Amino acid sequence: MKKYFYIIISAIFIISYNNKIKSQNLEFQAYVSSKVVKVGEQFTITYQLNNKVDNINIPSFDNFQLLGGPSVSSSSSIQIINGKVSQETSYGYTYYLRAIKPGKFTIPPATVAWKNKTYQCNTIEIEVVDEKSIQQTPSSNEKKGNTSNITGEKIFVRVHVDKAEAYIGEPITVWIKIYTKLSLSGYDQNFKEPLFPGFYKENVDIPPLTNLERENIEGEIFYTGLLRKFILYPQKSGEINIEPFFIDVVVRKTMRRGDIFDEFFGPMVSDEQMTLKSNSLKLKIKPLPPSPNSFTGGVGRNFNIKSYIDKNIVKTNDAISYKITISGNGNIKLIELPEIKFPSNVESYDPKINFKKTGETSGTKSFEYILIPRYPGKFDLPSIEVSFFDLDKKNYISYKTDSYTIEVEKSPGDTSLIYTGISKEDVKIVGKDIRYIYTKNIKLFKKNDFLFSKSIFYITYLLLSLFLILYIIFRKQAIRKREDIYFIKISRANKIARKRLKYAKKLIKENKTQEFYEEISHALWGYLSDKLLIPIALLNRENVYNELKQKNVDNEQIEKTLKLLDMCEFARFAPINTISTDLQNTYNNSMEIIIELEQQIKY
Amino acid sequence: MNWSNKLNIKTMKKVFLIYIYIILSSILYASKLDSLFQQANTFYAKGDYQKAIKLYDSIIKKGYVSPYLYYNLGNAYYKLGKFGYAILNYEKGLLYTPYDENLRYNLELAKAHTIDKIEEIPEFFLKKWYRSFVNLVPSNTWAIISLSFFILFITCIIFLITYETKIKTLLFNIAILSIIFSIISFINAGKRKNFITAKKYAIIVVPSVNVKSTPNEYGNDVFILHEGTKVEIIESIGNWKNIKISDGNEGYLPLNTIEIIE
Repeated sequence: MKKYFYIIISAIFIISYNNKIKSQNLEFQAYVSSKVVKVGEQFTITYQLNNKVDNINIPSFDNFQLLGGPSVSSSSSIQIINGKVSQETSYGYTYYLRAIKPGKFTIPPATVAWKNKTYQCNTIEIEVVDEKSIQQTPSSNEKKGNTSNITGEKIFVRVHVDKAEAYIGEPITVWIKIYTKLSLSGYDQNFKEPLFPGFYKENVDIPPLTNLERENIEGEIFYTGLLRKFILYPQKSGEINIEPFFIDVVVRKTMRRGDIFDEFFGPMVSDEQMTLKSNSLKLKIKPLPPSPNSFTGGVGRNFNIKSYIDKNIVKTNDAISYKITISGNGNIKLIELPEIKFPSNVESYDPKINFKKTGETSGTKSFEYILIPRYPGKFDLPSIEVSFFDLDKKNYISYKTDSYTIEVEKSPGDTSLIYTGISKEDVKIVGKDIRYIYTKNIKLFKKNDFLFSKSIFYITYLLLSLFLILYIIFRKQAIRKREDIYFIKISRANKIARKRLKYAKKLIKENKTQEFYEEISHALWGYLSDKLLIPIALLNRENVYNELKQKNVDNEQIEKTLKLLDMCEFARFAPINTISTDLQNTYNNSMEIIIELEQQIKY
Repeated sequence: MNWSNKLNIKTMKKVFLIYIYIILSSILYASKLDSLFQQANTFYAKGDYQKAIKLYDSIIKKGYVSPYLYYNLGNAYYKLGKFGYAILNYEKGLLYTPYDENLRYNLELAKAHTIDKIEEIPEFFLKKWYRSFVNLVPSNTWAIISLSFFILFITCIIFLITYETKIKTLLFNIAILSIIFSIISFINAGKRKNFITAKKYAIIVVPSVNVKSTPNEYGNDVFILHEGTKVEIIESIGNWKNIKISDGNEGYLPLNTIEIIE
């Protein structure tokens, strides 16, 4: 008994507790059983609330026939998460309606009053399709050709794109849908979707297909389901054909036999496997206009670029985080940063790239650089310019980040800075100290005081050279003077000799033998002295012989000359009768010798 | 005649006095510089390197130098941890005494503290030999050697043209050799002088500097150099220097980042 009691107490407690935590807001929503209905078809509209209300003011369901309602239902669920109890209760008010005429209709919102407040629910749009038009469409659609392929079938798949024409890099949304009038009992979940050559493909997560929605396709009601969705980023320009793909589906067919069994067992049901072929597509990809240098592939809308830096003043070997963020709508994921030239005394690492999606085609891409300055000083982080192709303006827009100046201070304990370049061998030397200063008195000299750059140095050379030249000139002149005397002597030798001989001829006539020989002797000796430049003091037989020999005079001639000289000498001092009296002959002889010598002695 | 002679003696006296004055004052001035040097050394010994540097610099500013002065100045900078300036002064000292062992030793130590390790392209051995030959004696010594040989040459020639002697060939050979020696020494005197005055090399004195591809701020960074690295100056364009490092790379540096070895 006690046990039951406790359970009851706790149940009461829970209920009373629940009342306390009941939501303070009223959630009020409207749903319809299907958004596309046939004329004459019955459907329901349900108003759902999370609190009980007294009265719902439903709108007047014009264009529809109200069949009945409201039928009230309620459901509640209790959740205990980490000891926290929450209860959700919902109340549904369902009305039954029937579509009367075709068209698109809007059901205005219903209102409720709760805690002195009036709440409104959402509006609902409903499409009503005329059944008769469905029956007519097959024949009319057949003529349309292309569309008949779609509506002619009871089940088909289609590839949709949001645009058939795009720029390179412009995102294209693609979705694959299945349309059926038959009851679909299954499909190949891993079907091969078409290939998209020249595109970068990104899948979009969609909820798994559980129930099909009704949709009006050209006047026919189809049950449709989204199979896949993805975004394409074109990578190259041109017309690109997307080939159709195939998918296996299983449909359930009911076969009415039209006999009594139907009424007992229901219609006969069979599953049938079919292979569906999708449509093909043609996408036209336009190339981008000529791009500026700062363009890095970004195509889209609402771009923005920002840069952050975590500190402006840093110590050596401390890291700085330099972050650049690009946000916008477009191919954000594919955008690169232009190459950043960091100052070379700063160590930089490859950026950490982070991409965050904020929508189907929008997102934020961040590049985080870690910079480590190794040396004290100042350095600039330059502004970065990035250009994007704006799809609205159909032109390039460039954005610039801020530039930063970073001051690097030497960290106090940083001794490694100085020794970084020292190899092991060098460190040994570092342990030693430099040699002590020179303490003796030194000879200081004037800086840049060079003899070589002083004119006195060159003048000395010049004077010495001048002295040598003058000396040489003086010497030459003295020599020439002496040579001139010789020349005169030589040229006069013949003349003097002839003069003497002339005188001798006179003596022949007077028959003065002694004087004649003397004159001849004088003439010859004098001639030889002048001609051979032998000073009178050195004039003797040997010297004459040597000189003549040196002057290359014939031996015969020398012999002759010496013989004559000897004869003259002999005649001068010998008694008169012993000497030859042929004076004329002697004269002729000496004349001949002088003529011969004149010819043979050459300078 | 008499009075003009007297005047001559008077002017001679005046000139003589001026000479004595100049010699004396220069001796006094030199001794003043010497005392400055010793004072600086005292500061160095005490460990007051800043003051030592100031005094050493004041001597250099007066136009007087010595390899030992640069050596001491380099040491003071070394002790302060300014290795760029230490290297600069050692290099300056080595301009005058390229083979001084102390300078070379301390320079190596200072270089061990620099960051850049640049591969040096080895010099052609003949060039190296020739350079060490040129560096044997200072420029002025080469000049005096050249002049002496020239005088010997002239003496030989005069002897040759004046007297007829039996050592004619020997004299002629001596004349030829002495004129060759004179020319070589003359060239060496010029080379040695240029070596000191060329301002061909510089030392980087800032912690680090980007070498640009063009002589302005907007050039690309070609490479990076650090304090104490020796660069060769190729050309000056305004406040920028076209420099080359020993591995053959070239670029531009602003003037205020380097100090020229002169």
